Amino acid sequence: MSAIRIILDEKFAINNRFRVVLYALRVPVSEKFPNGIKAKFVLIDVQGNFPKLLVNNHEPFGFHMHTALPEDKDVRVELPVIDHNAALALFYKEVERILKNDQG
Amino acid sequence: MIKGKSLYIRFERWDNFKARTQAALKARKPSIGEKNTILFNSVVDYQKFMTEQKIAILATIISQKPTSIYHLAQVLDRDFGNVQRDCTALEAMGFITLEESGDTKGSKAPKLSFNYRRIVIEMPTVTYSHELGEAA
Repeated sequence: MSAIRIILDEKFAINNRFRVVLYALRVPVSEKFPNGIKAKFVLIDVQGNFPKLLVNNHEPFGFHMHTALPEDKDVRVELPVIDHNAALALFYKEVERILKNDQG
Repeated sequence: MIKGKSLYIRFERWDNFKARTQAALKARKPSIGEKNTILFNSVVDYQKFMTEQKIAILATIISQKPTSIYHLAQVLDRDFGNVQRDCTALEAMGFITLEESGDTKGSKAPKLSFNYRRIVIEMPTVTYSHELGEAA
């Protein structure tokens, strides 16, 4: 059994409004985590200190995106990916869309 | 020389950060940000964020150890709502934490995220060139 290990723990201020927090753990391969990765990618609205966008893969879901934060944390959009790299790419794509909308 | 730890502000382009973290995750190679460092996209973004009022908040947290945001606002002689907004943003960026005071009012005491005494801004190297071909 392989040990749990942090493989991604990064924070980045995109501008004075938004900050990205990335966290990924290598975990034993299981039904819950078929790729052996448990991940959480968050876009934080700095002005209110709340998550604006969250992608994670906790049970009983696969990778999914919380798109109605902070109002409704139960709104989840399942992502058509099982791979954590594709999930991060989708997260970044959605972050870019939010940044574009914010710039008006 | 002032004694104490430093908090470092470093800069990396957003596109570079995305590429670097994607490559690290793909390779499953650990990519772990330094705990004493806050990464910003650009100097301009940092300067827009870190106003003089926010610097004053950090300095006052060190010198006065306020027990609540209300207390902090009183010391700074600023509007509570504005100080609260600045504290929220400072917490979100990782400069401070807001800890439950444990009183009946549910006050939050602003504390530095770690025991730093200075903020070191590491400016990126500036590179420029003279186009000699055009000048000739």
